[in-house]
Amino acid sequence: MLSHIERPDWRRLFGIAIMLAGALTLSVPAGAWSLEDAAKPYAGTTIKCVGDGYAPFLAYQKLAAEKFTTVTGITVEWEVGDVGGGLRQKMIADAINKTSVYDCVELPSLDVGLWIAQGFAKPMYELLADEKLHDPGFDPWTAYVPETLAFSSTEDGKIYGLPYHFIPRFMVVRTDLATCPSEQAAFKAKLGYDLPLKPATWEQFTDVAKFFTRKAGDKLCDETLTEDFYGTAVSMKRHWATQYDFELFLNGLGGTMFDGDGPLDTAEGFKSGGKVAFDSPVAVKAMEYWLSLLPFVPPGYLEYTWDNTYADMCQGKLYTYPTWGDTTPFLETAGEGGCPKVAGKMTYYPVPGTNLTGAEGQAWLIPISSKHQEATFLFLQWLASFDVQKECQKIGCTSPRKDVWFEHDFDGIGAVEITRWLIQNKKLIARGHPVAMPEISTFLIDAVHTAGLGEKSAAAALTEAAEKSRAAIAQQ
Amino acid sequence: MNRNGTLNIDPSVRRFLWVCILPVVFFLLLVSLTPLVLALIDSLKEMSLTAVSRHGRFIGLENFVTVLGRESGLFGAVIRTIAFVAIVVPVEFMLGLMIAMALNREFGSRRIWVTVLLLPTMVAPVVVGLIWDFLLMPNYGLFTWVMNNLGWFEGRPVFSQPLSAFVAIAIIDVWEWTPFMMLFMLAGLLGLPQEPIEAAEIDGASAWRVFWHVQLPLLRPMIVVAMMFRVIDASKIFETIFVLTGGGPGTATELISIHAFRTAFQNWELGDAAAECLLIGFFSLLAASIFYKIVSRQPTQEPV
Repeated sequence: MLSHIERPDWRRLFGIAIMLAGALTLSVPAGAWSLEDAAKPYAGTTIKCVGDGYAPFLAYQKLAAEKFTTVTGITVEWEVGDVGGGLRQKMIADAINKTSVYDCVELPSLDVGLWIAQGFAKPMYELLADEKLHDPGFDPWTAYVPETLAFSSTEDGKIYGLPYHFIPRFMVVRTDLATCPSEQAAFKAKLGYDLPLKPATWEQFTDVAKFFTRKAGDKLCDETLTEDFYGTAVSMKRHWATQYDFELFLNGLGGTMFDGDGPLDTAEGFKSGGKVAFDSPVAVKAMEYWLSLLPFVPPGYLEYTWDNTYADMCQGKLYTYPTWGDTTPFLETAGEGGCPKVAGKMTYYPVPGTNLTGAEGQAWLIPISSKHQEATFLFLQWLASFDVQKECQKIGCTSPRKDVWFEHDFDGIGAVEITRWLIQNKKLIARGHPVAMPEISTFLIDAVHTAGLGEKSAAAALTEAAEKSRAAIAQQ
Repeated sequence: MNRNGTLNIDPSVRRFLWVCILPVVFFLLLVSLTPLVLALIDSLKEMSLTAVSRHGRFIGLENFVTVLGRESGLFGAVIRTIAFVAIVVPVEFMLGLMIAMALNREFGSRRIWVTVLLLPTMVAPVVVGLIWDFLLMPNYGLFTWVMNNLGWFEGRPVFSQPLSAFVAIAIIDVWEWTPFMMLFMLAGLLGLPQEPIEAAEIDGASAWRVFWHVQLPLLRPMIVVAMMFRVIDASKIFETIFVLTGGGPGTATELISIHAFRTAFQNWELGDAAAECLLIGFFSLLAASIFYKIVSRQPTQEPV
């Protein structure tokens, strides 16, 4: 009976089955990556991290204890202090002497170039290339704000660290004073145009700073002042804050620290360094503009750091000033640890002029001498994940991940809105970090400080600092 | 006793004494000589962390030349340090001696007074810096407020002007270390033999003459030791300046220690810093020797 029916070609069918089985095998991962599995060889390990004792670090501490250790069995110990004070020296001492005290360090961006050039840092790209360790869902090149990744963690297109936080600078202004009818009327009468809530040009910034500088006994929004009130504030102490303040005005007026600095589409092509550019005519103009604001700032500016300017704003002594992304939670808090005098009265706006601002932030690096590099990498990668960063953002972090800033949970928060604007409009600058950056920073701080003291002109101070910086770069 | 005045010690006892002090000598050599030798080696090498290609290379006296050059700022730091020490140490000595003289008598609450007066010296130097930072803060400091109300430093806070910053650091150092001098002088006064003093008083000498001609000469060894301690300590002042001014305004308060710190730990010029510290150490030793020779010279005895 079967003779007239075509028999199936069993060999052909068998061949198709083999091909299908092969295709299925290739499409299904051999074992999907999981943190628990990746961490199994390192369970019971204790790693030590060191960093700045304030909100982001404290938030990381909390999350690590609650979530990371319970999943992986890796314990994280924390050394908390002042990175700008003694911790920086301890990190370097550990690195130079290979004493393996620290497994992860929150490194000031000034030192990144030096750490990479000296071989103090375990290249993160080597750990990212390890399939057993690297979560395939985590791509640093696309996850982070490119400027902050480039500026804090890369060299010649390779990743050496992972960004720790992202604290761009922008301006903050007292909304209540800017919208006070009597002040608006007085401003218009005096200057001939409407009081801008968000000064868009440096001329407007000078106008508002001058207009709102008042003495005790004067009126401010129909109330008599019991102490002096100032239009703005600057930092000019021999301290890092001075360098960052200068950079803000430099970038806002069209200058850069190095000629390779600027916004980026991707961090992959970023080449750090370039030629020193902070003695250019634009830079001198920026410094002269900055010095022109001194009549409108609190008189202790030569002793001022970011802590003092923040304190003055918090105490209601300032109209507007350049702030950092990480101060905004405190400026907006009326409760303990916050600023009850000004909470709820803040409006944020981009730096006038170019609107360009540095994509400031520190980085996590793993010292080459660490005996627990893999376990540490798993921890830092976990910290960098979207879920952790989103949760951290709610308790004090300022995430270096782009996607976290655009989460709807954070809609309506002034500082978040301005940061989104900066990211979307490519107004962030990646600054180079040449090996000699620590010295360059000292030269620049001294230059700005002596110009603020009146001992040197802006041009002379910047020229001297630039020449010393070029000499320092040349001796590399 | 031998003819030359030395003690005649049995050789076995001498050996035992050496065995007893050898561990201490060894420890002292380890903690003082070893870092000195390492610093000397570092001072002859390119140890700048930022000079990557030359790092570790032997460069002879190049670091010393750099440090002694006009650009380095070391001379200015040395002059400021000498000026600082020359001001604070005599002031601390005089005030300390005056307070010790006032406490050098029995009265009910003397111990309480001594304890209270010693408090500034017992506070850690960095805490001293923080306390005075708060007191002299431009807008919020208590002392700033008081001075402003007196019409002083209005519009130009203390640490914003080179001269007032320098003077303020000196005053803070006097506040902190006068009690130390007081303690030394009080211990010295309490340990003086009473017979010469009583004899002078019986002879009708006034209190001033007793002090000047009897007590002060007897106190001389104690004064020498106390002054030496303070000169060495004052020349090393660091924490207070670091917290309060960072060496500013300008370089007004950048003394040797701050200058060396900046060289080593801000610029990461470790070879330059080693050379600087060796030079400072050498000249300090020289100055201390000269000082000791001058102040410990025995006054010539007048013929009877």
